[in-house]
Amino acid sequence: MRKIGLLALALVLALGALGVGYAAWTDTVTIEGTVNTGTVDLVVEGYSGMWMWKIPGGDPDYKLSTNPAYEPTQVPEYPKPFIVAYSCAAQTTAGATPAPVDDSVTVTFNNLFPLLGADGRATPWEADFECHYVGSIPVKVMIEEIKIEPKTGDDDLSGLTITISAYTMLGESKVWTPITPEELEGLQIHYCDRVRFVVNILVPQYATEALNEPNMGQNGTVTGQIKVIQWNEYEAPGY
Amino acid sequence: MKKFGLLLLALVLALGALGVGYAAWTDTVTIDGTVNTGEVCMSLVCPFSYLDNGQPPDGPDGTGYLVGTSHPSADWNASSTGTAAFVNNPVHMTKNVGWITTNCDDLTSPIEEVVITLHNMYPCYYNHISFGITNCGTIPIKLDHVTFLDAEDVVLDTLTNDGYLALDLSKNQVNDVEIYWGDNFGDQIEPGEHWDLSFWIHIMQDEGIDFTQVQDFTFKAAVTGVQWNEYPLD
Repeated sequence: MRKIGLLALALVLALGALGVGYAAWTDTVTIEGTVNTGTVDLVVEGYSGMWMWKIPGGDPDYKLSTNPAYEPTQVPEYPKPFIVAYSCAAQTTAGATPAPVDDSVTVTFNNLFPLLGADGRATPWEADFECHYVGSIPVKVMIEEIKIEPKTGDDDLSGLTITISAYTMLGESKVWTPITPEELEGLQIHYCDRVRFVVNILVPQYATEALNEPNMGQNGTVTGQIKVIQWNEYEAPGY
Repeated sequence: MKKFGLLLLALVLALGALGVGYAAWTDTVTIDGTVNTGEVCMSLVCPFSYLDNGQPPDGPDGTGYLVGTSHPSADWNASSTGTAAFVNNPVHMTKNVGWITTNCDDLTSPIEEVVITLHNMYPCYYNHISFGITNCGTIPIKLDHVTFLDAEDVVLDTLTNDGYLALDLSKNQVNDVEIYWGDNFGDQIEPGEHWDLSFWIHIMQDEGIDFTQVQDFTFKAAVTGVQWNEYPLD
């Protein structure tokens, strides 16, 4: 019995010695952190256009306004002023109970005719909307498509010209700066920058009725897409 | 070698999958809408009316032309020539010799041209012709000018204000017809409304060379309206 006790004691000591032999020196560096992905997000925040008022008895008897709330003063004893033609942008809505459609703009160009600017030169009708870039990743602007149809048949709108121009309010700037269509393609914008896109339709004016008449009384559609892409993956058209 | 080919294939497939992974982040704003253009449209309004329009009754000896003083169908004659012809009152004659017809009965709206025929004209014959023009378009218009042309559409004269003109339709350097266009330049009509227009006409006595009495002369008066905000045209 004593022998068994000694054996057990020896085993315990041996095991203890073994444990001490296995204890290595170590040190540990722990890595912890967070990941968040950026965003690419262009938000449409404002809409505007042009309204041509006819002011019977006025001098001048018309007013081209870019303010939707504008209403001319009525000249006494004359009929009320009315809107002859207009072009404007608005938020797209859809559904039985119309609800806004994200990232979608509806433009309307109604009863257009040749328009002359203050300099006497042909000037386009404009429908414009303001975009606010709220993404965290710099992007570049791409005009994917802008077109007016149809261009054949009874409603042939091939005589009209459609383009997109823009104004920018970048960085700390508080004023709108016009840029050319060439500058717009590939324009880089950052968080909080603003761009006002203008859809222009020019109705030409010719010296003879025969050339003007094909552009009268025509009906069609406008479609287009403006895309922004992370700046480092932008490829200019043609590449 | 076969293993090497399989390895290449796997590499190509892997790269393809990698390419899909590279599709850039984008956001797109879509534009949709409608366009319709307006219309500048004028239509003449029939019937026309005249100071004298009575066709004389047929009569083998011409006695039917005698209708008596101040008879409604009796002709009118100018009492002078030049602008005075339209300042001084015309004289109401006792015979019904000349008359006017149009092709209005054959036309449907919109009417772009009406043919007025002055029958059996003679020097001093005078008439006042009235008609309407309606705005059949969607844009307000103003009367800008009236162009007078001959049968070959050669422009003879243009009026941009109320005024007088004389036309040499026989092309012999002597005027045959004089006209006073009375009103409405710069006036505007809204879509669906109309102008009342009129002019006086006086047949002159052409005594130039090669003039013969029995001739047909044609002239055209083209009334041009313009979208109201561009009046007057340059």
